[in-house]
Amino acid sequence: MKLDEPMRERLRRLASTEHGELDEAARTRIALAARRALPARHARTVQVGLVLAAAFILAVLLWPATLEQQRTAQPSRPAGPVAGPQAPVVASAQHAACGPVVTASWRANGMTGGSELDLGARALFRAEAKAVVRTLSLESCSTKVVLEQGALFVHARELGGGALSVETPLGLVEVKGTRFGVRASAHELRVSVDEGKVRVTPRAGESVLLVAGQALRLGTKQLAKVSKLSARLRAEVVPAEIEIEDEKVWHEGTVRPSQLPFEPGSNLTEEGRPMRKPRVVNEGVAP
Amino acid sequence: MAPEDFFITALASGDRWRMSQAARPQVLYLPVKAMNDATRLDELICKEMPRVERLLLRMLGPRTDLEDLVQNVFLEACRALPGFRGDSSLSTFIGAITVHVARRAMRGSWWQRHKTHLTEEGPAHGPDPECAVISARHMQHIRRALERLTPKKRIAFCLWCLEGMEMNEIAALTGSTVSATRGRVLHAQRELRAIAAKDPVLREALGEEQT
Repeated sequence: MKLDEPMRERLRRLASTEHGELDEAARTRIALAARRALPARHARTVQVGLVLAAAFILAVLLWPATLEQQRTAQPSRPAGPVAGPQAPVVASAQHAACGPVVTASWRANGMTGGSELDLGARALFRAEAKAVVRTLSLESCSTKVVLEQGALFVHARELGGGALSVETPLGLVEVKGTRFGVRASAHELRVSVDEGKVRVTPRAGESVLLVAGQALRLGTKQLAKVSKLSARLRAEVVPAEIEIEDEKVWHEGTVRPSQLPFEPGSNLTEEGRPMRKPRVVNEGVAP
Repeated sequence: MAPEDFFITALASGDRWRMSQAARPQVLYLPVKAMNDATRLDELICKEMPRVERLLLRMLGPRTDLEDLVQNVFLEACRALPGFRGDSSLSTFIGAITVHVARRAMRGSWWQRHKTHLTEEGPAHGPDPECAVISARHMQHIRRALERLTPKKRIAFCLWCLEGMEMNEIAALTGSTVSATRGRVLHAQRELRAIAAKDPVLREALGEEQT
């Protein structure tokens, strides 16, 4: 079958008689409608661009905060752990918003065999000889010490509104104006509170607020167990030799030895070592 | 001459201008710029609108919504131009959009198809009014017969027969091969003859003799 060219010509002539073209007014209306469509497209593009730009600026602004949060959650270890007094870490505080600028380093303590970090009027850290401890931050508003292993005695003297905390493998121990002891290993965390309040935040689990006279024991596979602080528990956490021999602190403190929950008859530690003799508080009686 | 100016000039002149493969990525955004310019857009519309009207008229016949359809063609063109790769001329590109709009108009509901037809006969054109009336009556029967064809056959036949386009041009507009287009035209021709066998006016319009 072939294409019928005569029919094509005939129909084409017929179709040319068909009229229905638009008039000039209609053409103008169409041109105006198409032109109106252009700004809408342009505006939509501008809107999308503005949203993207705002998102980018927001991301740039929030990025340092997120980075800081991650750094706090997973602190980097640029100095590496310090084993005892062999390798003291030198740190200095740069800001004086919450107190004076402090420059301090871990020093060997010949009497205890351990090391000591004296921050002057702010705080004092004393670690046992086999403790693995390092300084994370000594800023005026944030004093952070990492205790990998061993025992550490902390005396927060005057934080000036700042924070002091000890980070351990199993949790974070924060000072709330207190005297407390921490013993940490890879499998166990022990905290004893002599004075004030301490908040212990395990890596996994809810935080626990310890008050004076309480002790906490936390393992890798068990929940935090809070118990009444006994002399035995206290001695297990903090060896007597690293305690601060400052009678003045005891005398000026709010907790008296007679108020500590000593268990009667437990004058010996588990190692058979005699416990320290309870100190007598001078009740203001005239000498 | 900057590539953008060259492209816009090509748009305005309507020359068949094919970009090389290397030039394509660079020129992809140029139609958008061209269409964002209201003056350039006016030029494009003024140049292409008569052809768009004529194509729609040939494919669909006189309709009351022709203005809406023409407007749809140019709005669709504004939307589709950013994706125009320059494989064909701009006229072919807009022609393909016109075919698409016409095909969509053919798919309308029964009510839409019958509502949009011009029911009244228009004024007679030309020096011989009697011939014009007869021609209009013939075209009316041809249109009725064309409506019984499938849209693909109808479009191919209208563009070949009524508009006088060549097979390769129709194939470019409809996005099909030349052989397929030729087959559609042949089938449409045969179906029209079959319809004309029962319609004396259509038979007269087609120039067929009474068998």
